[in-house]
Amino acid sequence: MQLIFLKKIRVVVSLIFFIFTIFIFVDFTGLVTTRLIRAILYLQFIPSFLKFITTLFIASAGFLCILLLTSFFGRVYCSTVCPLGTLQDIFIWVSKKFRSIKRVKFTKPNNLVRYTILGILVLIFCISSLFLVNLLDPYSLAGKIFSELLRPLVYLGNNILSRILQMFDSYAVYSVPIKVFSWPPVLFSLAFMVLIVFLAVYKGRWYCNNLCPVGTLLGIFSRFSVFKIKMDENACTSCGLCAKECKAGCIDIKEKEVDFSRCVACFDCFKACPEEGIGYKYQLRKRIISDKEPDPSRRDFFKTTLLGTAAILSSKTLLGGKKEQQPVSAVPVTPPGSVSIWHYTSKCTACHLCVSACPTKVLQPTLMEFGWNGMFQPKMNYHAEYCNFECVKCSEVCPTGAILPITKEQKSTLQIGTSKFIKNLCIVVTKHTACGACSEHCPTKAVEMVPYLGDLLIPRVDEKICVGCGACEYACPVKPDKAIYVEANPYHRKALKPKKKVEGTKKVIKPTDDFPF
Amino acid sequence: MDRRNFFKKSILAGVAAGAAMTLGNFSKVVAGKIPPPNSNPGSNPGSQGPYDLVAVKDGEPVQMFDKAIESLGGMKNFVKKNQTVVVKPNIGWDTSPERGANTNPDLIRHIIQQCYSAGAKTVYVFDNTCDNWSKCYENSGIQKAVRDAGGKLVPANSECNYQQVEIKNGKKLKQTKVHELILSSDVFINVPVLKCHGSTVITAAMKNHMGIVWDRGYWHRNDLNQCIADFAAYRKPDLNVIDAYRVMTKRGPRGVSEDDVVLMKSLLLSRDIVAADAAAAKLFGTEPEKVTYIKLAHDAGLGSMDLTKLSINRIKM
Repeated sequence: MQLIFLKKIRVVVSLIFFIFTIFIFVDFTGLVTTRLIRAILYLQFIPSFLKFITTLFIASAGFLCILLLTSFFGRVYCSTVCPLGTLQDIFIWVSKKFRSIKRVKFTKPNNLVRYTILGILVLIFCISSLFLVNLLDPYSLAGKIFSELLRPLVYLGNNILSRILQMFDSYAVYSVPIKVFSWPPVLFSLAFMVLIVFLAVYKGRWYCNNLCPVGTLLGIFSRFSVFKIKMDENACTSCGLCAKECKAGCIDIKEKEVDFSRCVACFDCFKACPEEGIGYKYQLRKRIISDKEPDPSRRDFFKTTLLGTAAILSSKTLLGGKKEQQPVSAVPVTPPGSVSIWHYTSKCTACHLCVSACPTKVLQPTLMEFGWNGMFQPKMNYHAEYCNFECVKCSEVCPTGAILPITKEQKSTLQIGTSKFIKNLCIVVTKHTACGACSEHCPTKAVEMVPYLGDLLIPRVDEKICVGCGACEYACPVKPDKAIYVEANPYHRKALKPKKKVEGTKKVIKPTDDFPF
Repeated sequence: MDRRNFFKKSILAGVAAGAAMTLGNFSKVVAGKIPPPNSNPGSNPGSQGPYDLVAVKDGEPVQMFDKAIESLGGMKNFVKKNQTVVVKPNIGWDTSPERGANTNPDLIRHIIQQCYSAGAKTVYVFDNTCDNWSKCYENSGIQKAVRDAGGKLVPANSECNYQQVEIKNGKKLKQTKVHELILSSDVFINVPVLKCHGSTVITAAMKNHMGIVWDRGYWHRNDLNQCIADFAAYRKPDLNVIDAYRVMTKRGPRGVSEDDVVLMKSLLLSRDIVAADAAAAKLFGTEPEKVTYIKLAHDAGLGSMDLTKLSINRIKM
C-alpha cells in the first residue's frame, strides 16, 4: 500500500486553505475579492450549514460535501479545511523540531465529554441560539485569532513599513489605524490561543477530540465510513512508530486498533510505518456486522440528547418570553443585511470576518451586548466609525448568512436604526455656537439644520429617510455623551428615498450673467 | 480617542529598538524643516501681481485657471525651481465629481502640471477626509488626476503625521495638530470647492483648512466660526484657488444627489484668503458679513472682505 503520498497532499492542501484563510482575515487593501472569500470558506462546516438552512440554496451546501467526504474517508476536514486544525498541526510540527516531547499516548475516548457537548449544542441550536457554537466552532475560533491577534500585528508591521518609506518620501504604503474598542474579544482570543498552543504541544489534537463539535459530529459519521484506516495484522510488528506519530492518540498498538472516530486523517502514520502496515481499507461490510452490537458511545449520545431536550425545553419558555420584552434602546445596531437582531444573533458564529473586511471598521466585536446567544458577535459601533453609504462588503463576505447579501440599491433605503437627537446636549444649545457636524456627515440629509436663535441653526431629524448609518453619531463632537445617536431597529425597515427637491428655508441660487461684485 | 492613542503609543513603544530609533530620527528630520508660522518661503515681496483677486466666468475649469494665473504673472510667481508644493483640494466625501462635494479633479490635475512646469520638485496632495479616505480619494476622481499629473497623493489618516502647533492670537483655537506636509512644504496652494454648508452658510477657502488639521471635533465643540478664523492667521496659503464650476447650493456640504448642484462655471484666485471667501460668498448670493468666519477674519485683519477696496480682475470667457 503506497499511501505515503496522501500525507504530502494533505499538507499541501491544508497549507493552501490555511494561508488563504489567513490572507482573507488580515487583508486591508481590498485585494481579496468576494469570490475568493466565498470559495475559500465554502467548505467551512458550521458556516456553510448555517447559510444553507438560512437560504436553502444548494450552492451554499459545502457542509454536505464534507459529510460525503467523511462518509468515505473519515475526518479529512479536520486536517485540511479546518484552520484551527492546521494551526494546531503547525505548533505540533514546530514543537517536534525544537524539543523531544512525549508523544501523545493512546487513551480511551472521552465519549461522555464530547457527546455531551455536541448534544447540548445541538439542543441549544434547536431553540435557535448559537450559544456554545460561538465559543467552540473551530473555524470561528481560528477567525477570532486571525482577526483579533494576527490582524493588528500585520497592521503594525505595515505601519512601521509605511513610516520607514515616508522617510524616503514615499507614500506607497499607507498606515492603517489599529483601534481596539472592546478588549474582551482580544483577551479571549489570546487566552484561547495560549490554550490551544499548550494543548497542541502536550496533548496533540486534544481539542478536536474532546471539545470540538465539528470533530465530534464528523467522528460519528466516520464510524460508518466506507474506507477506514486499519492496521494490517500480518504486516504489523507492533513497533509502535505509528502510535508515536499519531497526534490524535487514537492508535491502540496493543490491540492493533485505530479509533477512526478520533482519527483526524493526517496520514502521518502511513509515513511512520516501516512495514506499510497501516492504511485505508474498504470497511462497508464490516460496518454492517458491527452495527448489530450496541455501541456504548452512541448510547451515551442518545442519553445526553434526551436529558438535554428535557432540560432545555423547560427553559425555552423562559428564554423565549424574555426575548420579546427586550427594550428597544438596549439592543445594539446590527449590520445592513442582517434582517433583524434575532436573525443575526441566531446565525452569527462570531468568526469576525466582517470585522476584518469592513473598510471603515464600524463593525466591532462585542462581549455580551447581544447576550449569551451572541457572545463576541460584532455590532455597528458608531463611536469607532460609521457605515459607508455605498458599501455592502460585510453582506458579501459573511459565510454563515447572518448578514445576507444585499445590493447597494437595496442598502440605500435600508433602515437599520434611526437617529435620535438629544437637544439639551447639543453644542448649539449649550454653547450657542455653530456646529452642524452631524448634518454635514449625513448621506441622506435626514439630519438637517433648521433655524434656532438668531443666525444659529440646529439639527432636526427626519426619521423617515434616516438609514441609521451612524455618521451623525460618529461626527458629533459632544463629550462624553453624544447629542445624537442611532437607536437600533430590532427588525430592519425600509426608509423613504431622500427628497428630490428641497423646499422651504434655503433660497434657490442661480448663476448670474455678470459678476456680483 | 484616548484609548486609541494609548494603544497606538504602547504598541509603538513596544516595537522598541530599531523601529523606535528610526522613527526618532524621522521626526527630527521633519522638525528641522518646519518654517516659522506665516513665513511664506514661496512668495517674494516683489512678485505680487497687480490684482488682489481674479474672478473668471463661463469657461471650463482648466481654461479659467490658465487665464486667472496668467493675470497674476503665471505660476512662476508662486512656485520657484526645486520647491516642494502642497496642493490641498477638498476631498472630504465619497461622492462622484458630478455631485460637486469635492474639488474638480481636472482642475487639480492641471494645477499640479502647472507646478511641475514652473519647476516644482514635488507636488503633494492630501486631505483629512470625512468619509473613508481611500474611497474619497478614489471616487472623487482626484486619485487618478494626481497620478496622471505625477503628483504625490498622501494619505492623511494617521495621527502620527500631524504635529502640534501653537496658534498665536487665537481666541478659541490656541493649539492644534497640523499635517507635517503643510509645515515642511515651501508652497501651500489651497484649492477648495465652493459649497453651501449647513451651519456656516458656505464653505470655501478658510473652511478647507479643516482638512489639514487632525482634530476637527475640537473646532466644532469650541465655536466653529471663531476656530476657522483663528486658524486662518496661522498659515495663510500662498495661493487660494476656489473652484466654483459645479456649486452645491443645498444639502451641503455632502449633498445627496446631483439635484443639489448648480453649474456656475466660475473660478476665483487670490493670495488673500479672506477676499477669496468674500467673493465666493457673493457668487453664492450672500453677503460676506453674513458668513460669520469671514467677518471674524476680516475684523482680525487677516485679509479684506471689502471687495470694493480691492483691485479685481474680472474675466468673462
